[in-house]
Amino acid sequence: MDFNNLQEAQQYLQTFTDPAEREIAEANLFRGPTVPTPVRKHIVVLLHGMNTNAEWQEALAESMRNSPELEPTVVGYGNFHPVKFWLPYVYRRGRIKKVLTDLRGIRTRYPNADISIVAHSFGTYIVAKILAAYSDVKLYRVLLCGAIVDTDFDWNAVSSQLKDPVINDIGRRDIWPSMAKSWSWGYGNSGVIGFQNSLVRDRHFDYEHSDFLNVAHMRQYWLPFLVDGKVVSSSFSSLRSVMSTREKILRAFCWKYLIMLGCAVGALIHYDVVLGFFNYGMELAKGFTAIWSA
Amino acid sequence: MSSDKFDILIDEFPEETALVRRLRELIARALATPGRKEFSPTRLYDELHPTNYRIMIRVLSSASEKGLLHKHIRVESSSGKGGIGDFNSLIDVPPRLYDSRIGRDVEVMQDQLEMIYSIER
Repeated sequence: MDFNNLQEAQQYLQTFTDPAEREIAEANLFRGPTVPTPVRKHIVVLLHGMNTNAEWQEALAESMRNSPELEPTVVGYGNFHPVKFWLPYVYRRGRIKKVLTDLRGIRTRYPNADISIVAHSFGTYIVAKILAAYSDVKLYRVLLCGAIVDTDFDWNAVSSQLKDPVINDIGRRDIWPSMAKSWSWGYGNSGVIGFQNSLVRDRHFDYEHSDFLNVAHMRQYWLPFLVDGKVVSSSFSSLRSVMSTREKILRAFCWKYLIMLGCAVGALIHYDVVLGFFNYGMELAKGFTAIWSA
Repeated sequence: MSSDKFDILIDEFPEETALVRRLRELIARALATPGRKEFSPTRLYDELHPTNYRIMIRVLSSASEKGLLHKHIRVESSSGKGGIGDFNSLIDVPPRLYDSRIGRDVEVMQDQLEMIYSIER
């Protein structure tokens, strides 16, 4: 054992909240010299969604503690207001730049390490944008969930930057990718319908947007991929239900154009009201002037 | 031995079907001979050829829950004459323990500890 005494080892094991992970940690203490320990460093970047907190990142980081070759690293881009999320391009660029800088920093610090990414929601958009725009960014394994990347994203164009097929975990009850697509520009509903591309493994689950972010799912589906590149199939894939009415409505309309139309009408009305007041003021002024002159 | 339990294990770990089959054979061999058979995790790693150590421990943990084998943390006597106590987990091991082999309480040292998977008829 790597500990000086029994109490130290017991204290270490008690830091594991998940009993299954604690058991693996315990077995690691008794790992014999003939059991190989991977030596190549594998950094797993955890990239959050728009308003998800760091809880899932911490949970996944804990699950990885038993895989000594994996080193979880949380990369964030701060709070992202929904209005900024909605506005095309302007505010998104800064967030992409921030994550890119972090990724390049990791590569500089660990030039020989494998770098993988687990991204959720808006994080998936950032990953896709970085891959498409910066060919120096090379990733070992990419795992997306609740993806809002355009379904037509050209994975073939970035295939040289990826080692393994990308995993895209899809939530069949997830409305947010379709919302993002219909309400704004540049997003897609790949988190609902998948990419249907040979370089991506779409994996369906009976989930909502953030249901992926639980320890059981991470342990069953994410760790085998991150550790060994194994894609554990979801039993839901072959049973997936037909599209819900809510989903059909969200996909049928391009709400962004309705919003723009609403904004334009609102502006016109506003302009009309302002103009009306202005004209009324002018008339009043003329009246006063006339009375004064008389 | 219930093959149903192994089928459930395969359902739980479909990617590790070969590992579960090797475990089934190992348990069958162990049960074919009288007495209790004990294996260290390293020995099991050598016998079962898992993809990695971590997945093997997960499969063994699930097999233990199904009663196919049992995991113990054993405290060996410092006299080298055998075990003086078995515990479910390292956390359950007390700092001091009566060593019946030498007839007095002893402080449990880390080199006296072993993880054992046992199979018994």
